[in-house]
Amino acid sequence: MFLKNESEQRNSNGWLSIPVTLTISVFFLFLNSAGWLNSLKLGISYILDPVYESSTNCALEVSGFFTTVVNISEFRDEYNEMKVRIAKYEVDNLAFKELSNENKDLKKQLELENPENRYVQSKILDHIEADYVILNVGAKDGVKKGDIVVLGNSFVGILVDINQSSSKARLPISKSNFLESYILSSEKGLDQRILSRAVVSGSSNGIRIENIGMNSGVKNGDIVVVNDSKVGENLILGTVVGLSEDPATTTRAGYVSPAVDYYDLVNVFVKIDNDS
Amino acid sequence: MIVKTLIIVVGLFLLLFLESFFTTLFSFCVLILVLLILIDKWDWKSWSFFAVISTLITDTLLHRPFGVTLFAVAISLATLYLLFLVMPKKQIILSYIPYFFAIFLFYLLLNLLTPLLQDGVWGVVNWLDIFGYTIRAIISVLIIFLSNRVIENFRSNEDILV
Repeated sequence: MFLKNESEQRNSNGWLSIPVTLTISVFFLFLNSAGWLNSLKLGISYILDPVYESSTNCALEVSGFFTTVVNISEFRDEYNEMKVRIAKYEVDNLAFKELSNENKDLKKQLELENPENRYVQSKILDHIEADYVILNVGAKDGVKKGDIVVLGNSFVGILVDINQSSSKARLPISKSNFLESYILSSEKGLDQRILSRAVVSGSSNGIRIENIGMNSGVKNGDIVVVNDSKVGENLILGTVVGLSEDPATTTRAGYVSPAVDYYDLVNVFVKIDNDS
Repeated sequence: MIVKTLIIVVGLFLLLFLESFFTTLFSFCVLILVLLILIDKWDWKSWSFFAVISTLITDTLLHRPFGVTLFAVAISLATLYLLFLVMPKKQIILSYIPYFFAIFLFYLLLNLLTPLLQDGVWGVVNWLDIFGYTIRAIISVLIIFLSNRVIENFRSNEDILV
């Protein structure tokens, strides 16, 4: 009887948690927007990031296992094909090794590597709502908010949130992304030139490119290069596709087919300055 | 008291592990499920304290703006209590419809508000997302229903033993 009364009293007071949690959440949202909680966030993530990292790895392993089970027949065929290919590649590999060593020596000789930049290799832990990826590098690796994520000379994203050992990168497909860029003609060699400047932004249909000069001669397949102060250097974003053909407008627009498939990426590099 | 605190701390760690595990695997939120199960089993002060701590940690780990999960939980809870004013709480099927709407709203708010508070742009929701939220909400309601039945059985067995 006593238990029942106590339980009923608990239920009747349950609504009090609504104004309390609402007020606290608004208070924290305000503090977060003012940027006063960064050290608290770093502290929490320092203690609990290992829990997140291990659970994410477990989830990826489980997901990988089920994907393998579902596609087992495809994998078997692929395996047989691969055995033949591997034998062929092993022969080619020896020649490539020799070329690679030669390339390294030449680079050293010509000092082509940019001494101002340092790259941190990172693994992609998770994709969030198609717009963001979670990387396994954080403040302890020396990365900071605004650092650029690249793969080779391709632009992958910008870091927007840093924890102690993980970080969140915004992909070009995000609606919050606005980047200045230019379009290079797809011709090889000396004929290659800048055709037009443009603005790249994310949308729900893909990466949109706008403000292309009407008479610039840009065509589908031309190369989009990011050239923005946020990025700091020229990085390839992808190629122009679906270019508009409306003669009534003064500028043209289209979409960018990314140079890398963001959902197949496993390893990327975060560019950090030497002084950080 | 010490044992109770230890159980809550270990439970919190376990909850965080499951939260990141299921978020990565199916974008399924275990936290809202646990909070809705506990709302009429704990007193409001303990519940609010647990809700604040667990949601803030989740926000940090999942890179959401601080407080956005708590805000979504509070709005969902308000919806739940409002719907309970017009729907009877003790009827088997009807009493779980408010839970469905509350959880659906939670997912919707989380997807809309996180990009808004982080980048100043509303999140994009398409029909596929709506379908996903519906499925997740139905699964969550089923789990809440089952867990309530299990807890009720435990209680009635305890009464028999006493």
